[in-house]
Amino acid sequence: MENMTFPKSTISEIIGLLEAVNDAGGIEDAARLAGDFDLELDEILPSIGGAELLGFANVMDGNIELTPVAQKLLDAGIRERKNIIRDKVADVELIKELRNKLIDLSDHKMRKQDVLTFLRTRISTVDIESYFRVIINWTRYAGIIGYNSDSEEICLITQVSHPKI
Amino acid sequence: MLAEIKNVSKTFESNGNKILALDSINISVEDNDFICIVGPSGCGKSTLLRIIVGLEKPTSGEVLFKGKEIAPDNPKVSMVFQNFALFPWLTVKENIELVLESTKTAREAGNIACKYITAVGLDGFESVYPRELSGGMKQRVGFARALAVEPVLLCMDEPFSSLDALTSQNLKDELLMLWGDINMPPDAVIMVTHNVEEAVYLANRIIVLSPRPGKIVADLKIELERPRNRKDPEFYRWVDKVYSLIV
Amino acid sequence: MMKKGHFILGIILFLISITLAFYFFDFIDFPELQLLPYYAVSSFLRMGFAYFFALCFALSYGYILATNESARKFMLPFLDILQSVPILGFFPAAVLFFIGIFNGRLGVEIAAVFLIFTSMAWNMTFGVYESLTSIPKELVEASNSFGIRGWNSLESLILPACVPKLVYNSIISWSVGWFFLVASEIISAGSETYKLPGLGSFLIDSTYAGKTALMLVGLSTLVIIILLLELFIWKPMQSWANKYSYDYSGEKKPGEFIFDLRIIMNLFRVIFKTFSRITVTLYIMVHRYKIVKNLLKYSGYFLLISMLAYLAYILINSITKLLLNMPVEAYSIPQAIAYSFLRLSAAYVICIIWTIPAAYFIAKNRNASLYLIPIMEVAASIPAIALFPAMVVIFIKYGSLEIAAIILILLGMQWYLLFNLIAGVKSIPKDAQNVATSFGIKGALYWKKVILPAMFPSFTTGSITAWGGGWNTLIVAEYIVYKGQEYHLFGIGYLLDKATFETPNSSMVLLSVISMAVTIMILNRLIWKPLYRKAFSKYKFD
Repeated sequence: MENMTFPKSTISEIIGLLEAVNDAGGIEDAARLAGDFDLELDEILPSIGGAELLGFANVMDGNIELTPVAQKLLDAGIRERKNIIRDKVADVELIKELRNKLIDLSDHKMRKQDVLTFLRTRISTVDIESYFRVIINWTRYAGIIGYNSDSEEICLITQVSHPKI
Repeated sequence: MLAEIKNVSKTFESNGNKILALDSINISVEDNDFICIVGPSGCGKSTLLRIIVGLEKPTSGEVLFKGKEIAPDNPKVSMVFQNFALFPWLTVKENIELVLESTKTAREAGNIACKYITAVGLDGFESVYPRELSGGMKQRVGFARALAVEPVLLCMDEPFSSLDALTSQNLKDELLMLWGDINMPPDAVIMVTHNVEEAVYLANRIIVLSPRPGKIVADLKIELERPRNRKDPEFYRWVDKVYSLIV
Repeated sequence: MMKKGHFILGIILFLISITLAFYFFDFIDFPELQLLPYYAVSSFLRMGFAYFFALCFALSYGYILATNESARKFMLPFLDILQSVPILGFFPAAVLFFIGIFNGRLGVEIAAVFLIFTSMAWNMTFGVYESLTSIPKELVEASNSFGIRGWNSLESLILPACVPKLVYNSIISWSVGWFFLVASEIISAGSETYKLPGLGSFLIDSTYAGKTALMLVGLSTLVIIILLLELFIWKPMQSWANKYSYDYSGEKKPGEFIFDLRIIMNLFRVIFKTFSRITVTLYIMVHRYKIVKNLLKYSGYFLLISMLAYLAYILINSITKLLLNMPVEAYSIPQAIAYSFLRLSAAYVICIIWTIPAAYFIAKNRNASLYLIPIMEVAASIPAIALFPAMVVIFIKYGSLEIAAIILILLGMQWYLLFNLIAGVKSIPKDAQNVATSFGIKGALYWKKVILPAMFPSFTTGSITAWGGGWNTLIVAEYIVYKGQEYHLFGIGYLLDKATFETPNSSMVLLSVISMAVTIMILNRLIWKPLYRKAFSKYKFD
């Protein structure tokens, strides 16, 4: 797998973006969206990237369009949203790999240092820690992978409906 | 009537001068009110909120809650803070349990904490420390904590000001979801904000304060159906209306 | 409204008038008073010399640390080790060492100045190092782009960057230095040949002569000098230094009394500029002639290596001598350390019991803050050691050296803890307090889950410095010579002092100092460093 980059945005920011696009009728120009939030285009790109990665938006010609599942997300309550997001986060390649690694380990735990080493092979950057934080933010929210800051270990949160892919 | 702010005035002393911050504020809060107090900076809206919650005493006038004078630790009134105010050595769950421990058993406190952690969507984060949370999540803990005491009146002091635009958008919607849930406390909300769009988006009643000394300039009922759309021209008309009252 | 500065000034005037009263009215009874100005000046000069050397050392060592990657690797840990040796432990060893070279009183003087130097130099060096490494990158790049680099940047970039931390550390260094000044003068007073004339010896002499009034005069002289420096030099320097701080907002705290010392400021500015000009000129001259540059470089290395070699020689020599004939007493060292440790722990526990509630009360109570804090700052500025002669009197009267020692150690520890705790409570964010008030968190729950955890970081820093102060006070507290009689408490301080002054035994001195240093380093590694890490990762509000 070649080096890629991971969108550095939290789940909250992504949902916020989707809600704004929804207000505009389901499709909106990225630059105008940035202006609405008083942000530079650069600042809004990670959230757009995140929305795309999770399958909530399609980006074409500088326009962001909501997918049907995004619509479903926005109409849902807090609990339902969590379920939809869990499914989508679990489908992200990088997170799938991480999850499979954990499944293979006998105690289903992995040290943060080993995770960082793994991430460095996928994302070329100096500040790998910040990517770690974002990814853990996603997986914790989705309830797939947890993190214990005292022992500095990530751990698998067992989900019945997700076999190894 | 849930709460009544009767003729509240507040005077400060600074370098030997007396400064009138609030002048004869009268507000009656009814069931199902979502009130946003707006006004230019320095108009005293945060001071007013602190007086309503009971953290400060008015120089004259009184705040009555269900007919009785309010005390700072009235369990039926709770507060959400602009800078989250979480204790860094306690986990998410422990931060919430803390405010329950003086009135509930440990087991009850734990159950209630879990209930509200789930309600704000933070399940999975029970044993996480505040420093690991993003701003949006910290404020969710703030909400959960304020709701855990099952208040009748929820007071919020610029709860979205410390968050980035996208996150606060998300959080506002979730707040409205909680507000719309009849099984969730509170019965009324008073929120202070300097962001007029935010006020029009959330409130069904906007109170405008004048610049110092803060006096009530207007008490508007917002007649917009929920869910509200910021791009709606009707929305903008309300925003313009409020702005014209502030300036 | 009473301003803090005025309050302190009042205290000074009060003390001055008492001192003058004694001076004029009791002149006849106390001829020693004539010598008081001379003693005061001698003490002050010792401090001044030590400070000057410490400053030069700090600037050079700190600069090398900040700019030379390879040197830093061993120089930084070395500095760390130096910091953990209890300074007073140095003194007997230093006395023996310098007397060996310089004979008689000159040796002791140099030892005393060296002692004060060691109490000042390390933290100032760290200050320089931290200042230089935190110069915003843009400033360095900007200077470079204007062609100002290396030595040229001394005046415009380097020295200004160091000013805030240097001033702050200088203030701390001076108050620490007073402690060791008095200590060295008191310790040396035990021996007729090596006695250093100064405020410390004045205090001891007047106590032993039973002239308590005289002792009090000496004490107030010390306090007066300290407070005068505080008001007329340190406070103004602090506001001057603020100008050089990178995130200074330009506000003066309301009601603060700052003496406008323009003449001295300008003097400093001139010294500053001259110093940098001279160094730059020298540097340019040296650079012009490659031969001179290389010559200096190699002779510098040569000097460094030969000094290290000499030190190593002495060290190896003493260690072999030690191993060949272990003094019998050496076997009592572990026990001595245990006793001393217990004494320190007892004082520490008493400290904690009173400082925690006191800090909370003072920090929360505005009136208390206004009046109590200046009073306590004055009390804290009296080096605990200066009260040692008074301790001796108490001991003689009530017969328990143990209690007197613990009280003395307590005094040497408590101020560090108290002031840190007060700052800690004051730095609790307002909103955190509001949470407690509005959610009705009170009583035991409030203390257990809100206040005590919030105080934990400052408790840790305060404890670390308190123990440092404690070890040093211990060395003085465990050994007294009064009217030719020797009294002691069994402990490592006693062993050290005895081996220096009573039955000189350089091997014992070496062993005692080493075992103290090792004990302190073990305590640091096992207790303080982990505690500090935990406090600042888990308990700090951000």
